[in-house]
Amino acid sequence: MVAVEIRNVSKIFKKEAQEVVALQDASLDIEAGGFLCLMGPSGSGKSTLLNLIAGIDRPSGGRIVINGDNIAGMSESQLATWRNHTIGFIFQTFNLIPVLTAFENVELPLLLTKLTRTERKEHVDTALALVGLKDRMRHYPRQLSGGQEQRVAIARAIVTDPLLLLADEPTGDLDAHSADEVLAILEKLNKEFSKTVVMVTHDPRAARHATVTRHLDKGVLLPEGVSA
Amino acid sequence: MKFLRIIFRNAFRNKRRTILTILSIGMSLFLISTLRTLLTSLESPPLTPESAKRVVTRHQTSLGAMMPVSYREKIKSVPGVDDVTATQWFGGVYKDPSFFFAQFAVDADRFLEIYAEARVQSPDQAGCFKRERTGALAGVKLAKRFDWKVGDTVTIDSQIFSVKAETRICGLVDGGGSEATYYFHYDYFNELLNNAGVAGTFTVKAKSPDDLTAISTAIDDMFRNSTAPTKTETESAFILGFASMWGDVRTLIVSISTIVLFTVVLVAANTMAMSIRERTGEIAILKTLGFSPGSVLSMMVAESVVIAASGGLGGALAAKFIFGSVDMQMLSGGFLQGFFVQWSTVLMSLGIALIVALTSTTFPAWSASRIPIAEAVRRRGE
Repeated sequence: MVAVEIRNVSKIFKKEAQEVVALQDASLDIEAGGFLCLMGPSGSGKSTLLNLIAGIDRPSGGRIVINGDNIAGMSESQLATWRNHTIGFIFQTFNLIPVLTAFENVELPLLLTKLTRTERKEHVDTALALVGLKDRMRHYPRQLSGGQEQRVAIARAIVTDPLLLLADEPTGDLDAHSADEVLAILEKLNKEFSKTVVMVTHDPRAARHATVTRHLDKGVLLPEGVSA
Repeated sequence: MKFLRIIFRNAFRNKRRTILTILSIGMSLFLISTLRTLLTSLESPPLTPESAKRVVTRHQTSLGAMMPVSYREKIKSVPGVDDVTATQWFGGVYKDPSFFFAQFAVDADRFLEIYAEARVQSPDQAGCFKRERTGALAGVKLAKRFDWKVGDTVTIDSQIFSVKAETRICGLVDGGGSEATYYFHYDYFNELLNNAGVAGTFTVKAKSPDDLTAISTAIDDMFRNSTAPTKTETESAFILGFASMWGDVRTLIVSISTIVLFTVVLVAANTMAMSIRERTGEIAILKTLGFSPGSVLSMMVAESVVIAASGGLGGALAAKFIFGSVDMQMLSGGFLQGFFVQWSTVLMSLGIALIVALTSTTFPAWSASRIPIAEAVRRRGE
């Protein structure tokens, strides 16, 4: 079953009179429960493609259908609600709100739901336990290591039980040990909890955790098995 | 309710900046509350059933111009008038010019009937005041301030008339704003002026408050074509007229308040703009998590409301409790009566604080909430 259907999607950034093609006529299907890795040099368009899948940027052309929803036609508010229900997003850095504890950071997306306080607590406890940080729930981001911060971010991404987990270079700022921990969690979420994962990375070691790897170069999504 | 925690945490994330902003808003609202109370005190001095029966007659041209004291008997003949006393501002200095307090030369035999709310401590003291040529009544707060006792001699040097009044305290008086005022005989004052026979004002007591308008018109009509035409007005209007000798007090107070308000809006806008700009990346994260632009905007405006309301309420409450514990009547030499910050002024300050929050934050917060997530993510490392 296809979770994400991308058809002839392009993204053009306009800077004054100049047009920069960030993504050109990309088509891709991502199977439900798959773990796709997007690789490519800087400026190849991999983060642009990830942002388009997450609905945090809009395509200049083409169609993106996720779990049957064509997200190109949604308003900002509809997209916000859709993201809350469907997407878990992990940034490379600056991921947590510094004035909130790990627990409160993970609870954030649940504040937009109708769950009661007790139900929210149950969800947050489960998500933090899954990433092995239940004992750090009262800690602020500054009291956590980089790897722990990223694991809290993963807990926040999965706390609403989303269909899709999107990670933009989640190990880019981490040491090797922390990076392995984060990748192990993403792999566990994919294999044990059947989450569909799309990860952007430069790191070939990280890419080994994925089931499918696609390369991009100068805004073009290369055929499967071809690298830049 | 569930967003309150994040709103408060964000409002106080940079404690030093937030506290300084709260203090600047607080100081501004303290000043605005004080100015409003001053204006209220000048425009609406506390009324008593007795003061509601009184009007004050003065020279039409200005308070500085004098009228013949013979007007007193003519005014008394106006239908509806119960009693009249000459009331002359003496403008004297006791020992040191910084010891300012109000002194009036009054008709000793009429004064206590017309100002019935002013209570002398004993009938003997009232009798002494009426009887003795240089007898005087001192307000109780004034007596306490200068450690005066009944029988003490008090010499007051008038800066207006260049004469010295050597008076003897017959009694102490309290009530109706008399606590910080000094009263002595008009006849003695007239003697000091070589029987010039002039008075600055006449206080007129009507038989009924309903007659005040007719009495005022009748008095002013009576002297319209004389060499000293009059202007008769209520006590509160007279006090405001007295204050207006310094200029247009209302315009002055409103102008200062407006400038203070404008300045505080700029301070708050600067703080909020900085705070919002620093959090562009976090706004992107919130929106990625599913927060709509409207909810992001609401949270930032709410933060601003928390800061501004803390400052506004703090400033107004500080004014209320400070002026509640300081005797402004004494500090102003009896000029300001009923100088108390009302709860309505505290509420007004809170309202101003909310306006400051909305005007200073809405635009930067609205702009930030509309930045596309991808652009905000790109900016966050800047």
